[in-house]
Amino acid sequence: MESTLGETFNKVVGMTGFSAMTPGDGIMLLIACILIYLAIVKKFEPLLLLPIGFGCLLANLPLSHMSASDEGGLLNFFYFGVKHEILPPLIFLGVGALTDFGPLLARPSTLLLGAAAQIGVYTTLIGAVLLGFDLKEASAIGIIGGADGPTSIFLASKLAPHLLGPIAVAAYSYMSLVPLIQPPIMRWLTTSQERKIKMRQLKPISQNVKILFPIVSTIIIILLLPGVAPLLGMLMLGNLFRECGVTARLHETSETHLINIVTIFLALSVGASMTAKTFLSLETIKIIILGLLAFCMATAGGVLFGKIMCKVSGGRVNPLIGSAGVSAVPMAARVSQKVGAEEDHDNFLLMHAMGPNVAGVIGSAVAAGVFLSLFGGPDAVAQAALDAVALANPLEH
Amino acid sequence: MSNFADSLAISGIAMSVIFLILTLLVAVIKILVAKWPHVAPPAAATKPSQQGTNPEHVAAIHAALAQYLGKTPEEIRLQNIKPL
Repeated sequence: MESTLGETFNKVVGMTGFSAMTPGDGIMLLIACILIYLAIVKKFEPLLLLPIGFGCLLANLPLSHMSASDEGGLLNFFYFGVKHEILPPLIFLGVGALTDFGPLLARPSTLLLGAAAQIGVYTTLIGAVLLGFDLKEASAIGIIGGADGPTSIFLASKLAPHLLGPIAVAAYSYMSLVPLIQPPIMRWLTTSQERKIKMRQLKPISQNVKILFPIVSTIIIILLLPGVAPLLGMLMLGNLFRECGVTARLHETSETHLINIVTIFLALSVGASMTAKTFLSLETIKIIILGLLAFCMATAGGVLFGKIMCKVSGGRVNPLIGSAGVSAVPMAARVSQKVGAEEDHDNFLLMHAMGPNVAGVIGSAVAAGVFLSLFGGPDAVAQAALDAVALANPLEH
Repeated sequence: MSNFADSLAISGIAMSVIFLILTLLVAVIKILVAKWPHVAPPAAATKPSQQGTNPEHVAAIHAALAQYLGKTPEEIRLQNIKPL
C-alpha cells in the first residue's frame, strides 16, 4: 500500500510543472516578471510590455503548452497572425486611423527628416553584420532603429523569425525610453540658439488634400516598393477612414477596439515566442546593445538633418524637430517639444514635430519595404510561383 | 568581409531609395496643396455677448477696474467682458 501511495505521489509530482522546470525556464520567468514590473510600476509602454511579459510568463511555465511554437496551443494560434503578417498590418490600420497627416501636409519638407532618421537603421545593420549576424538577421535587427514596433515585428517575422522575441522586446523597451535616450543627444548636437528657434505657424490644409494623400501615396509607394504593401496599405486605409468623412464607424472601430484587440494578440504572441531556447543567448545581448545604438543613431541622424534644413531655410527650422523623425508617435514629438521648451518656455514645437514624427512612420515602413525587396522578395515570388504550378498541375504535386 | 561590404552597399542604396521615394512624396504633396488650396470657411457670426460691446464702455470698465484694484490701467488687461 505504501509503495502504491509513493508511486501515486511521484506520478502526481511528475505531472506538475515543477518536475519539468529547467534553470532556463526559471530565468525566463524572472525576465517575464521584470517586464511586468516595468509595465505596471515604471509605466514603460504598459499596453505592450504587460501582455508581452505575461505571454513570456505563460510560454515558460513548463507543460503549459503555451509557447508560440507549441503546435495546437492557444498562443500558437495567436502567433499564426504574426507569422502570416496579419497582426502588424492591422495595428497599422489603427495607427493610420489615429494619425493626423495635417502637420506633414502643411510642411512636406519634414518628410525628409523622417528619411534622415532611418540612418539609425543602416548603421545598426552594419553594426549587426560586424557582430556576426547574416544580412537577413542584420536587417531585422536594424529596423529597430525605425522605432516602430509593428514594423520591427513584421520584418523580423519575415526575415529572422528566431530573433522575433529579442527584437520586439528591444524595440518596445527603447521606445519607452525615448524620453531618456533622446534629450542628451539632442542637446549635444544643437546650440542654445538653434534650440530657441521659433517656427512659423502651420498653414491649414484642405480636406481634399487630406483625402487624396493616402490614396496617391499608396499608389506611388506600393508601385515602387511592392513589399511594403501590407503595412503601408493598411496605414493609408486607416487614415482614409479618418479623413473621408463617410466611414465614421469604421474609423472609430479602427482607432479604438480593433487596435486594442490586435495589440493584445500581437503582444501576447511576441511574449510567447520568448522561450529560454530562443531568448537566452549571446545574440539577445547583442540585439539589446544594437537596439540602443539604433535609437541613438536615428536621433542623431534626424537632428543633424534638421540642422541642415535650418541652414538651408535661413534659420526657420528648429533642428530639434528632426529627432521626431524616429517615429515612436507621439512620444518623440513630445520630446522635441520638451527640449525646446527647456530653452524657451514660449516655444511650442509639438505640432511642428508631428510632421517628421508621422514621416518617420512612413520612412520606417519604406525602409522595411526596401529590406523585403532585397531579401524577402525572391523567396516570396518563388513560393508564389511554386504554389501556382502546384495549382495548375495538382496530380504532379 | 563580403557581408560587411554588402551591408555598406545595401545601406547606401536603401538610404538613396528612401530619400528618393520621400522626395517624390514631397513633390506630390506640393502639387496636391497647390491644386486644392485651403479655403477658409465663412467667418462665424459675432457672439451676442461681443456684439454690443462699445469701446467706450470697455475703456470705462478698464479704468474703473484699475481704480478698484489700486493699479494703473497699463498694469491690467481685460480679456473678456460678459453681460450679467
